[in-house]
Amino acid sequence: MSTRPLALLLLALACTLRPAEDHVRLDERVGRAETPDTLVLEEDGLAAIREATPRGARLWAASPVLHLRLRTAGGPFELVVRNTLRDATLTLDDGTVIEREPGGLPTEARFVLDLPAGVERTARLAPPDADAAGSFHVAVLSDVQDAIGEVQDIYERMRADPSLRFVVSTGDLTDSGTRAQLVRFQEELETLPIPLYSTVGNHEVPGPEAWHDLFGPFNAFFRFRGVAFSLVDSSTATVDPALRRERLRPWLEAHRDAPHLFLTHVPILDASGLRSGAFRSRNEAASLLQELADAEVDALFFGHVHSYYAYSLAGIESYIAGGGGAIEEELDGIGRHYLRVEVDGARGVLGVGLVRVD
Amino acid sequence: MTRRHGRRAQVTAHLLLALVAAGLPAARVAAQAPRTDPSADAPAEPPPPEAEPPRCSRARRRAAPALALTAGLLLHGTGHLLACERRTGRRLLAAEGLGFGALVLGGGGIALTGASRKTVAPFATLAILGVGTFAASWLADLYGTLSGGANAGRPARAAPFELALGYRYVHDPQFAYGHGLHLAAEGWLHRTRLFGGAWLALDDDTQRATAGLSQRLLGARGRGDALDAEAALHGQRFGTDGFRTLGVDVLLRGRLELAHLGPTLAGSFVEAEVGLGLQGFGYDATGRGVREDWNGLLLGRVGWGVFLGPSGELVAYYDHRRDDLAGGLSVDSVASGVLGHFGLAGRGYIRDGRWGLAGELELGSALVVGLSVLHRGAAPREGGAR
Repeated sequence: MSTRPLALLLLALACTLRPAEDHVRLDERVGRAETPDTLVLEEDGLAAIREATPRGARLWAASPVLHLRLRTAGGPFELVVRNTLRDATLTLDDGTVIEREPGGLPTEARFVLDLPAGVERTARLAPPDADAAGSFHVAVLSDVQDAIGEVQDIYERMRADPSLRFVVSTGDLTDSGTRAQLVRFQEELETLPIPLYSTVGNHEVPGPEAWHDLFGPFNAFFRFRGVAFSLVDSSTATVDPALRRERLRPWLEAHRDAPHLFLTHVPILDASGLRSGAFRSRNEAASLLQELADAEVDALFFGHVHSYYAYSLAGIESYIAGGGGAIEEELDGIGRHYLRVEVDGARGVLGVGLVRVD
Repeated sequence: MTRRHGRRAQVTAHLLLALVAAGLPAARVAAQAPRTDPSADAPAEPPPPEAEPPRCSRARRRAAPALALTAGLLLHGTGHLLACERRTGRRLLAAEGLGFGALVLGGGGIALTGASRKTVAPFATLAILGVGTFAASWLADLYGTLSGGANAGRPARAAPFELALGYRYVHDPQFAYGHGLHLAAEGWLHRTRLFGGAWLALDDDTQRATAGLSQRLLGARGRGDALDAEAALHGQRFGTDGFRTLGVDVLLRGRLELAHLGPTLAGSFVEAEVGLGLQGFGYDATGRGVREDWNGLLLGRVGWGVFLGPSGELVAYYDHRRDDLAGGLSVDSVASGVLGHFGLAGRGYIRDGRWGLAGELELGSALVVGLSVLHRGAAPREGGAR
């Protein structure tokens, strides 16, 4: 008797119970390109390495700070990192600061390196204030989906606010996550002088490979100016248990002392329970909220629901802000919007403001 | 008009067209269905077999299930139409139309309002009932053409009380538990059913308990035609994971024997429930008990089943709730985070009717498999208490 049907059934069952497992496995491969002569590695998996040759590499950053390991074949090596902060510089492990090459987009950093052949060096790409104290502002924008043609309205509002350091997103940047749509989103982003870091939404799920190639990680954990950011994949209405166990839990523990913003696409619990545009299991939701409350996370940000809500979950201030332009929730008087969040590494979340675009 | 408004108008136009296409034939055929008295406090007797055309070849009847499986996927009831069961076939087609219409109306309403918090509950309920009606009409077509009305199964009569003791395995990748003890009891007091149950993890500090009462509004005591109003409490304690929940439900539940639609459907039934719930959450991290967070819950369940023998049954169902051990199903698409879980439950009694077995299989965010031994205090007699 053939065991193939049983194997297929078990495989289908496993996919159903852990639908985001492939995202976790893809994340393990993000940020590394190696040939016999060259190595380009982002130590925390926070950059998509789109191209790596003996003459150079092109990266898409998923964090305002990158920790790189580089080995070249000698001679000039051009490192191009897109989606960076405009004042980011590259500092080698011996303290040498490599200035950006002039020209290009504000969010595109080009460096020409001349490293000894075959010697592995570490480098840090970060702005000068990456570890400084004091408050700063970020924007939270999600759920653009098929309104990509009007996203410039939102970027125009953001450009008018020079205090914004970067944008964080819970996903649904595109309508169906195709490579062409993701490329289009990144092209539209070129008018914005600040970078955008995002996890995936359910509208990116159909094409995980394209996201992996173009944006890099599905899950990003980074710290900037003393504030921890967790961008966590809940595109399938669940957080994969391996991700929780192996990455989220140690990260929460390690940054218990820091203000912590947790962003994920699907609300852990919807502000409107009857709609329940939320995690697929309320028991999982409660379990995750207990873990986030125990780690003293300061604020939760969600998308998925195309409106704005401010509420509380497990004593944590929580926001739904799916105002990027996708078909809006009616009868709520909200319209397109994003959030402007002021946060301080020592004092926590100082303010969350709703910025209306329409 | 902005492009965004144009997009919504386009969606509206498509939905209206679909509604018209679905609703008109459904309404026309439904008008031909016989009336029943919904206030009767007893199950309606299945209608007498309809007069069949004088000749319906054996070949047509043999081909009917195949047609129900193929063309019948699109037009429910075509299997019966081929088998010369025209009235039943037309009724199934009408049911499909009504189900599709409800689905389009409910789903369309959700789409047009952007799942507004103010309107989502009635639209989602309509969509769930629409899906259930749509699916049941197809399953009934297939069942009727296969059984030809030969299924002698009939609904179990109610016993004064029933106890269940069994094993339930829950595989949820988010939690450490797996093996559990299942206990349940129910008893009738006139037309009120009292029930309770618990699941106690054997390999983890997790427990779930339910208690409630159900008032029979229409129909006899037992598992045949019925309409019930129910209220229940659900408590959960996840000691290892550091949280507790407490929920209260109020709902209406109905079951209809499909023999009312045609003799070939004898021995099968549909069931549905709609209601609202409220769930409280408490976390060890905050220490405020189950009043820390409150969240509403839309309840909706649709099922189709068959009676097996004198007192057994098997039912396949969709349950919209996501607050229990099975949770909700993830799909690798934009529909993530919307669905509840699917299930299959069966029960049957052996020998003198005092002892029986119940089994269940549920698939949502977790896989639940259970088997219980049933015991009834007294074997109910045929035509027992009502």
